[in-house]
Amino acid sequence: MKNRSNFTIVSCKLLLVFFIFCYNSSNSQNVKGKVTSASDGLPVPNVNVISKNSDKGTITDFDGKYSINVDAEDILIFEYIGFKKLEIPVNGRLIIDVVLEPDVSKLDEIVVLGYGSKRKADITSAVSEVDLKSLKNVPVSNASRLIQGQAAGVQVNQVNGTPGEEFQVRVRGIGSLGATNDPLYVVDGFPIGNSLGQSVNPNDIENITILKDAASTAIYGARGSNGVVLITTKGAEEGESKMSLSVSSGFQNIPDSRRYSVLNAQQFVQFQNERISENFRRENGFEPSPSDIPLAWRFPEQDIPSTNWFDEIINNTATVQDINFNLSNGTNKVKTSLSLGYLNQDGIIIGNDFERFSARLNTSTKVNDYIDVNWNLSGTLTEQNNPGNINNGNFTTSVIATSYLADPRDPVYNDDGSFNSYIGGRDGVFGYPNPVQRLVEETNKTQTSFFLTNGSVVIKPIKGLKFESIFNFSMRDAKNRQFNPSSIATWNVPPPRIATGSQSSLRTYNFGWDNIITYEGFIGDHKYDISAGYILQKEQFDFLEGTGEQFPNDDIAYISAAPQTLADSNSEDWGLAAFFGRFNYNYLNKYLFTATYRREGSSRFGVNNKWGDFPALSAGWRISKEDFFQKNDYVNDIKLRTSWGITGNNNIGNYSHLARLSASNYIFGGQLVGGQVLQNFGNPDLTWETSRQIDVGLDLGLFNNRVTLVAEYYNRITEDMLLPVQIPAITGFTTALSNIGKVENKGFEFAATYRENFGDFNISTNFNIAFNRNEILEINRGVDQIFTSNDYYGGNNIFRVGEPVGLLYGFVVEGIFETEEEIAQFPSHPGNTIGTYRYRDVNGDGEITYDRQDWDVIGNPNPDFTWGLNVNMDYKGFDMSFGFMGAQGYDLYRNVDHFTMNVDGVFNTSTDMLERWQSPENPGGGYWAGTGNFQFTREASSRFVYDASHVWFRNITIGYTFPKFSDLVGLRLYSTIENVAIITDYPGNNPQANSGNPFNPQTVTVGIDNDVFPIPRIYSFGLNLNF
Amino acid sequence: MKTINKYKLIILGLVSLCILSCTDDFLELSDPTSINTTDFYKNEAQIKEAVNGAYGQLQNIFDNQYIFNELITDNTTVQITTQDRGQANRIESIDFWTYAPFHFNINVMFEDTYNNLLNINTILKRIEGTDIDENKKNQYKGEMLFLRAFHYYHLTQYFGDIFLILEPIEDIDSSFEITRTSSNEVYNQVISDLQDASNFLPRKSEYSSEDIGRVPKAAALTLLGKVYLTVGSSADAIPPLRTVVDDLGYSLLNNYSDIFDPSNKNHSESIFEIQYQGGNNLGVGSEFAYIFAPFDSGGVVTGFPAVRTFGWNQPTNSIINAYEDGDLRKDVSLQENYIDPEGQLQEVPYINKYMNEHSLPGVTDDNWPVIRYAEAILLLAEALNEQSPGSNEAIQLVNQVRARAGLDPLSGVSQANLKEAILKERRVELAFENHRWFDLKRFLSTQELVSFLNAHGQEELADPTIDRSGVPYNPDDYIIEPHELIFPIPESQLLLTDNITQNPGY
Repeated sequence: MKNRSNFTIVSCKLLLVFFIFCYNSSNSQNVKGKVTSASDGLPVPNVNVISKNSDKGTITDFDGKYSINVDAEDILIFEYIGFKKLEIPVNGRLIIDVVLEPDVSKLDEIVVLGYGSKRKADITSAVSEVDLKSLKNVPVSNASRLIQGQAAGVQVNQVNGTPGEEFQVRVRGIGSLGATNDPLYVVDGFPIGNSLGQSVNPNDIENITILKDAASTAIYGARGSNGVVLITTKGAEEGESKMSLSVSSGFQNIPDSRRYSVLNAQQFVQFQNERISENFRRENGFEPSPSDIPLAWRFPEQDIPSTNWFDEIINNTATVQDINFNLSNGTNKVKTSLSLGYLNQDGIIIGNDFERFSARLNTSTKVNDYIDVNWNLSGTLTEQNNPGNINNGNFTTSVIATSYLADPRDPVYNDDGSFNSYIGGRDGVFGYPNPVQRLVEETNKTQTSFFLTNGSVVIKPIKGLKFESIFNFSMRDAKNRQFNPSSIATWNVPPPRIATGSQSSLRTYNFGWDNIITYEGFIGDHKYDISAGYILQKEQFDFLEGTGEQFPNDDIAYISAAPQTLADSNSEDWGLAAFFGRFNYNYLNKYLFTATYRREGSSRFGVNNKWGDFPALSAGWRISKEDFFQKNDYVNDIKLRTSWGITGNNNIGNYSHLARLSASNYIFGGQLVGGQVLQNFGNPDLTWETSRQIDVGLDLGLFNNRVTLVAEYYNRITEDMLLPVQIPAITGFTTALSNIGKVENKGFEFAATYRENFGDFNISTNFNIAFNRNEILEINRGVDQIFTSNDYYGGNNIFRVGEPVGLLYGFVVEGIFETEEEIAQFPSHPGNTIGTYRYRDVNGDGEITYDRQDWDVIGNPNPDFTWGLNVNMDYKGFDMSFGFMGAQGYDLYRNVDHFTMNVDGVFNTSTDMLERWQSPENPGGGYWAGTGNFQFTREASSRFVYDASHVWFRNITIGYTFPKFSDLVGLRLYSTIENVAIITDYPGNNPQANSGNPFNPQTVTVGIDNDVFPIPRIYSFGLNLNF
Repeated sequence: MKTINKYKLIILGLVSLCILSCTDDFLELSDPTSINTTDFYKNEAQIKEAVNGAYGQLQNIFDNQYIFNELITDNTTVQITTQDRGQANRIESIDFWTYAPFHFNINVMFEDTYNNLLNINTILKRIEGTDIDENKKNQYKGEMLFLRAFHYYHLTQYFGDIFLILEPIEDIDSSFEITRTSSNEVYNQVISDLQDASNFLPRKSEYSSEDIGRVPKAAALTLLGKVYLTVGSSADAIPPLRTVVDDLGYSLLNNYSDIFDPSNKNHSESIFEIQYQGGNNLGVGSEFAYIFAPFDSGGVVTGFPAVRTFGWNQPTNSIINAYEDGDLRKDVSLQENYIDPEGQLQEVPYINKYMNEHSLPGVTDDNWPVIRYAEAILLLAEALNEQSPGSNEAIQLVNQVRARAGLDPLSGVSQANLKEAILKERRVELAFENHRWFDLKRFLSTQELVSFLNAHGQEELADPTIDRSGVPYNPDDYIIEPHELIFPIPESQLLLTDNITQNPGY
């Protein structure tokens, strides 16, 4: 018995020991070691040391030491920003020391450039890359939003808040006064023009590069002077099939702080009462009795119902939905990526909305070892409704203007529920149509379809030689239908009116064919590549419009219902042909040099100047690779670079160099006869605007590229500017298009990025700031200033030699005349009475005259500096990103004040009117006059100018990625706010506004705000699913 | 390797082929929707179209001519409303003689006139190089010379010394050097052009039915007579005017109202009218009815309430009282008030000559009378009176016009006041046809004119013809100074070059 129990006990003990041993050995052993950097041998703290098979992890301490319990068969992962990730099997070892290689892959990244690409480390020109991560969840209705606040020197302004609207982009200032200032947009190598429109679904974009200096844009010849935005769409990667779906939904509003406030009904009656009493007092010298005041204004204390028209036109249930789906599949032979997208955004103003459906298929095929064929196809359909004439900036027709100016005493609806169709129009107040009725009953529908395809055949017959033939084609079809029913009033005319309607169709084709041959080679350590290319591109558009006249009723909103229709048509085209050559040189990544040359001809240029030359040179010196540079912990990369080049701007109209005739009909013998008259002077010398630019930059990589800095100086001179130069009217025309004048833009740009891991917390941020100064150097022909308007009303810009572009110009308000003695003492104008504005006598002749002699500069719409900040953070499953941007030190001219501070009592007024100067005893805020006269009160003056400096918290996104519960599905939830908050003294809704002159819509304007479509705040929630 | 080389060659070949053939297709493009001037003015069809085009531009100029010929005088005034103060610096400042070098309407008139002159001069130059039949060529030249003379006559009356451009300016840079020509020389050119025109132009009866509306010989002769009178050569004025009055087949209509009836266009009293056409949307209609109807009259005057009326050219008390009792022309020319849609009497007078029935709202069929036979009669009377004051023949001529108006012949008229009687007869006969300003300038000396206008101004200041809805007068209103008898050269022109000088006083 004893033997058997002994054996049992011993067996059990052995088993126990065995189990313990097994437990110990199958679960953990303590592994420790030290992590050092390969570049200097120093320890690296904060390195993540993670077990691959369990969820254990730790970080290295200040001495680079770590200690972790893992299985003997486990694998340890070492990762840290700035170093290459390392996986090391434990293999039963207890001490594992690790040496980490610095990760310069950020510098190895390939950046897309014009007709080619380069390693980021080798770039010698001024190029900015856009971080798309921070905006990936914002419901973006136009892709131009993605570059806002992202690149130093690239100022992107949301000029109005219409859903789908393109943002205004300016690269390094305003260089042109007569041709466009928009950059050239290139999608997958296809230069589509100066407008991005809806040609690309923002969710399909892989990366965006912005070319800023002449050296990078000269290869685009006569279209490169305003910078180039290169957009690359998503392709597939080699590997498994991947599917992703993202769905988001949100709502919009306009915060109270961004709404313009006008008087309510009781305040309006009070104002009218005071105004009439004041006029009476002044004319008669004694107080009016109640019967001297018209009945409508006699009892200002009465509480009467009031309508806030702006509140009424806001759509309080404006929603936005954004759905995107992507399926990508890649083998080593064929890669395809399919994307589908749907966006639906209600406008924050009733009746205005935007819907977009897009699809894209990108394929790349390796036919054999020598030939690759890539083809992209994409289509976009959009439908937009824009009733209410909101963005034409015309204060008699825009519903936004109506909402400020209409009589607040009138209700939106009549008692029977029908629309109250004529607002005001009595008691001396102007009559307006009901803005809500207009937004509900008017039709202004635009449907566009956009088809874009490009493909290339790439042949590599021998090592180093590549031949590409690229085909580009796009077709855009836009149809618009408008109908304005008879039930709607017009300014000062109650309904019914004659219904009007029109339908139009615009079809644009653009195709191009590029052939490029490249050879890469090396001689020892000298690497080089040479390219040559031949480019052809042509665009044509056809326009047809029909207008219906004398609609008998409102039943059918199509021109087929009109008994009489008129039609109009137009057709234009342009073509270009170009040759280019490029030479790149690289010696040990230390000395870099690039030269490009493009010779371009265009159908737009006059007979004497059909072809142009656009050369460029750039060079770089990587100081950190020099022997004299000591390796240290702080600075790991220094590159000094400089560039010079000549580019052009060919946006001068398709046929401007031709002298043409136009129709001028007459009646003879009771019949219509056709006539032709001269339309313009021709100019056989007409040519593109030339831009010469030099650039000097310094790129620094610090702390193993955890921090990068870029500092840049540039100087860009635009000459031969296309301007309708004013000529004496005795020639028959008042302007003739010529190439004259010179503008300089120069400045500094700084950009910094920072990336860091603190254990599980990762942060990456980028910041940019730019200081641009522009100056008009020359106009020409003894003329040293150009006025942009022939009218004294509305924002006026002046372009004057020695000053920045687009200065605001007008009378200068010095104060308000408070007493008769003051009127006698200071220079005055006819009609100055107590309570009117006192202007500055600029020309010193002792009086204020009704001409521009007493005008002076009243504001500068060019900012002192612009900046942007984007931050992305994540911690375990949570992520957060946000973006700020701002502009400092600039002015905007508010046209709305011309109407809402009008003291004639014909419009409703701003609440600022409560602060008007009424008498020395009642000066209000002392700024706004309470008395006006027919002349001098409403003309352009300094009282309409406001400082628009701002800091804008543009977007914030918070998300959470659920731990993977299976290998198949990843889920992330997120919430985003777009247009979070703004810090500014600017009273308008949008300090980035730039509209036209409402009195003179054709003129070039800078810095004018017409209160067009307001910018909403968008709250949205969504989820991403990845399969 | 060989196949690859062959490959390369083929590609290179294709590319070079394309380079050679494609380039032109891409670079030589022209506007498909308009004609290029280098291809134009070459044959008769094109010259005819160019001539038609020049006439077509007249519609725009005549739409606004009332501002500078009637509104500025004692004939008409603007109806002031609180709702539209936007015209304060525009037409109202013409009415009240407070215009300054920066003036929208004056600027537009200056630009539009020289634009028309460019087309006229281009035709006159390019027609020489064509193969057109001599008669036709002369006709077109005559038409253009008349229009050119007409414009320069107006320009020098408006601005004094003016830029005399007789050929299209080829080199724009040279235009900055051009200075103003004296008024006397301008008149000489006008006279020379009209003499040539009167030789070239056919008589009205010689025009075919499809050319009705073109300038006839009589127009050139009448204007020639008027210009001679303007420069004080009454002796030279008489022969051309006699030809018009006696030899060219015109006659006075029996009814004054028939003159302005759109169904009676280009009648036997009409020498030259600007043609318009209503009843369609072809863009050739007139809208005088809407500009001259009182503001907010709600369709009572025009017949279409949905189209805005402006009240920009309303008869003054002065002209209302100028008509003698029993003058049949008064009711045709103006109405003193109207009943608004609510049944209230509104004391706003309006011009009635151009208020005719029309079918499309906003588009009227009224032609604008530029020269008519009645004026030729009165001009001849004026010339005869200048030659021999108190001339009986002159009195007979005036009586012809008075008889048609239902008035008794002139009585008790002496040598001294026949001139005054003729001025007055012109005023009521040609009321609101854009003659008053030049008539006043021709009949009165500078001092007389200034006193005359200021007297009218005082009259309006004391008792405005139309209630001003509480809008007060400004201190400078209705006071004219001698230098203001001519307009300032537009400020926009002065800023361009020092060679353009301003008129004195501005």
